[in-house]
Amino acid sequence: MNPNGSTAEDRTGEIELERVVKAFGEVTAVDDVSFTIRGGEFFSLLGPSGCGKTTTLRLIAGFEEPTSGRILLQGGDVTRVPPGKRNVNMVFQAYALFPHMTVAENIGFGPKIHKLGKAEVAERTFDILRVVQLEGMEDRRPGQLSGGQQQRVALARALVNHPAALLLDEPLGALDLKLRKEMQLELKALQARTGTTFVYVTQLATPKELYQRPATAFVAGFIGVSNLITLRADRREDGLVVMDLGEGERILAPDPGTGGDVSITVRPEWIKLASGEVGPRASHVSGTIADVVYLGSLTQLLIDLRTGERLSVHRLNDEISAEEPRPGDRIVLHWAAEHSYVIGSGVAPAGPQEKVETT
Amino acid sequence: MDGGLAGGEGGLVAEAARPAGARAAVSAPAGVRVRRGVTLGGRALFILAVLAILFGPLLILVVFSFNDSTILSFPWAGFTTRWYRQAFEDPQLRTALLNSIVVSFIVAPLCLVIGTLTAFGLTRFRFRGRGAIAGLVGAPLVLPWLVIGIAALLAYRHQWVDLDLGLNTVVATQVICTFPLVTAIVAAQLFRFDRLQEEAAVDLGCSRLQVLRHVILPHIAPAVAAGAIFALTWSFNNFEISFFTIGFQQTFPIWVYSTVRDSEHLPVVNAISTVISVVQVLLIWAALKLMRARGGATAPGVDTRPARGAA
Amino acid sequence: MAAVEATVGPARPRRGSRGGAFAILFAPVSLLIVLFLVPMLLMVQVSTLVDPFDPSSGSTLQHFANVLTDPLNRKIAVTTFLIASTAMVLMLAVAIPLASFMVFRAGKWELPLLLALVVADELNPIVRIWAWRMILGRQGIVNWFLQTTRITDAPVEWLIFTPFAVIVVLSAGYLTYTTIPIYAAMKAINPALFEASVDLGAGWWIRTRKILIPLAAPGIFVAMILVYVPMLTDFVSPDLVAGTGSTMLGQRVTQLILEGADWGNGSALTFVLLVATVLLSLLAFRLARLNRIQT
Repeated sequence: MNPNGSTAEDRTGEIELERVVKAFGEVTAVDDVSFTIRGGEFFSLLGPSGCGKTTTLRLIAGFEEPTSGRILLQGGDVTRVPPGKRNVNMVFQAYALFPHMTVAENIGFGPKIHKLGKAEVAERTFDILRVVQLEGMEDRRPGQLSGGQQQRVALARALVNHPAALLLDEPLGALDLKLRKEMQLELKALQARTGTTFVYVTQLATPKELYQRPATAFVAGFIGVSNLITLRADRREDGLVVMDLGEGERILAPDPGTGGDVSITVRPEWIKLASGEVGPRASHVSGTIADVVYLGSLTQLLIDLRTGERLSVHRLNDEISAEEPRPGDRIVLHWAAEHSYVIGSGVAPAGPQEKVETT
Repeated sequence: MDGGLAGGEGGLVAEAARPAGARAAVSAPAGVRVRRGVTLGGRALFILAVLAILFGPLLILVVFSFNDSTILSFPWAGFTTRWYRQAFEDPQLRTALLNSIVVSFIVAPLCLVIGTLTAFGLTRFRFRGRGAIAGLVGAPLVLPWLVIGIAALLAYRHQWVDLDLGLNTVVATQVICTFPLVTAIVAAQLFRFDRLQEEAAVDLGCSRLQVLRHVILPHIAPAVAAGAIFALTWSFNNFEISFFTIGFQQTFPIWVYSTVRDSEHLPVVNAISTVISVVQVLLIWAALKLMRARGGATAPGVDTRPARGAA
Repeated sequence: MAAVEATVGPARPRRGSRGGAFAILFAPVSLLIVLFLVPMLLMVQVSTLVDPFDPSSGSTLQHFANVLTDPLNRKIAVTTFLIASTAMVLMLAVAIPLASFMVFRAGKWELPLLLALVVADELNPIVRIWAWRMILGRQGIVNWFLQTTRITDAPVEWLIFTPFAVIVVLSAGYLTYTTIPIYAAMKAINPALFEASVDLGAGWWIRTRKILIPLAAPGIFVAMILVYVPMLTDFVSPDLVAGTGSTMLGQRVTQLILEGADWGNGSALTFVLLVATVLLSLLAFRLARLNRIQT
């Protein structure tokens, strides 16, 4: 059973995009996209600006009509249904609260339009205020609220209509870092509590999983993962893909079974500076230190491999060693095969020019 | 993009959106759907109606100025330019036109200087009573011209003052009523001006005067020029103030007023009005161009030099 | 190097600010006092003189009494208010949809429309009013059209020299100044608010009534301030197209002072008008302030 009480057969809150294309003149913002969001899910759409994620959200909301393809809500085709009549509500990027109305009036706006009685409107309003923890604020104006409070009013205004799905368009962008983290947790809790499908679009807030296990090479490049290596599949054995570099040097990765070359990434802290024997299930490669960056609790070494990649290695500064590595020194690196994370087949994307902020 | 999701149900699932063909920033048009009710045609009709109200009368004027008939109406009696010839041969009209031009060409520069000075005085200094002075400056814009004109008339002809009414009294009162407009336009531009540019110039060694000449004036020049053109047009067009303070002479608007009330050769009015209107349209168009030219060029304070070093 | 932020706001005080301000503002302020305040005061004085032409003739409030009790003045005042109010309503009925169209639907036509409004207003007002005479007159365009298309047999009388004519002329004349403040107010509205309301289910009527109008209200008030008072005191428009039944206050003043040389009553009436218009402006200003939303 899904969190919102629906079963697998029940399609409450389910959103499906079927071969949706959206073109604005010559520009194709959404190119043949198909996916299903299950009911009760917290679904995130992440991407760089201009990639079409906001357009996708607006297609679901109904503010854009697809050039071709269908949009289905709870199994029903809503492609031509106007936004006010779909059972979804949106939380806008800058909240779009009505400045001339009180919090209560903002929240009551939707229910009143749907002709709910006064008593029920009041009841729903107070209920949702409690859920978003804004009791007592009903007579304030948006201008009198803080950013975080406005955010919650926007959520309340959408949720009070009991929509099947809630669409959030970069809702945390305007908040400072600390508040953003708090709100992320609150949003998750809210979603779990209400069981409503949340579709969340953002450029920010990459979770740990994404960083450690990027789904595709593009994602890896986008979020600033370093140590991207193209592994030429010279041979395969013991479930490993091996690239031989001569003189006993090799880079290994678990074989994803797709054949051909693989692109991998290795976390900087898992790469060790070799001093001694290296086991057979470990990558073993030498390089030249290009730069040494002292970062307080650790030192970052940038090392150029013979294969051309530049690896970033983190070394904890917990020992004062007699030999401090210096640029120009030759150095040998090794890491366990399992620490080579395969992100896709083919060539790894070029390393990021600048790091994207990860929160 | 393969269907399905990475990660567990209910968890904070991340799936990178497939990069679409477009990388350029696409600004989607307003998503609010157009009402099927009001058709494109209906809206176009409304706009045409509004334009008709605004310019229709003028168009009629132009058309009839070429109509070979003393009756100012259809049917069309043939094309002629004789009204234009008559207009330029009419001595009274010539005098009135001359008066209007002379007055406006005196009023406009005076308004420019006084108005700009006032704008500087009000925006660049802070002192007690600034609000009161600003109110005083704004008053001629707010009070009805009828009142101002009558008061001027009574004052000039007051026994203690006893000034003859003529072009000089017209100029005096018009300046008072118009320079606040220039002040408003220039002050708005000064307001937006970034003081730091000035301070940078001083830091680099400019004297106050040089700062004025090379930093400030170029920035407000379009606003000042536009203000001048508006002042010119306003003065030329002005009726109420001139009417009360001019005595027995005439400016162009006054000539039109008396001619249409009492006289016979009305098509002449159409002819000369057409000419004047065309000139004014061109002038105003130039003024607006001036105001927009600077408005877009550099936003105050934006660092337009190429980026140095690492971003 | 970070971009320098534009500083918008009151100018920072400078050293010796009093002196500098004094030097610059001396001329303009003196001119205002001499050519603006003094005439106003003189007018008030004249209105209280027993003999308006003789400043030494002693004070009286008789002129005010005359002016305020004269039934003709009362009638003209009522007519003026009715005509001005009707014109105001008519203009708002056009300006609000027009401004809304310009902001939300016009696209590339927004700027040309704005230009058209401004340019139309800079043309000579006398000429424009005269042109309306040619349209509404007994032998004018409208009548010509009606007669040639056989809609009527004789010229329609009530088109000209009637309150109708004055209302039309006033409305056409002040339309620009009515539209522009409303346009400015609407332009400042966050468009996302409309999308949000659509998302919550609002149709066109609710969007207009509950979002557009309340947020454009300050602009509407400004428009009324800018336009209503001048309409009340306008004497040129009625002078050219009004009949005897639609005389307005501005004309009355002109009659008294220029034609009747009755400076006493004339100046008293002018002063009354001054006070009335100042009060109206203040009231409207107050209302606009009250309506301003803290966003």
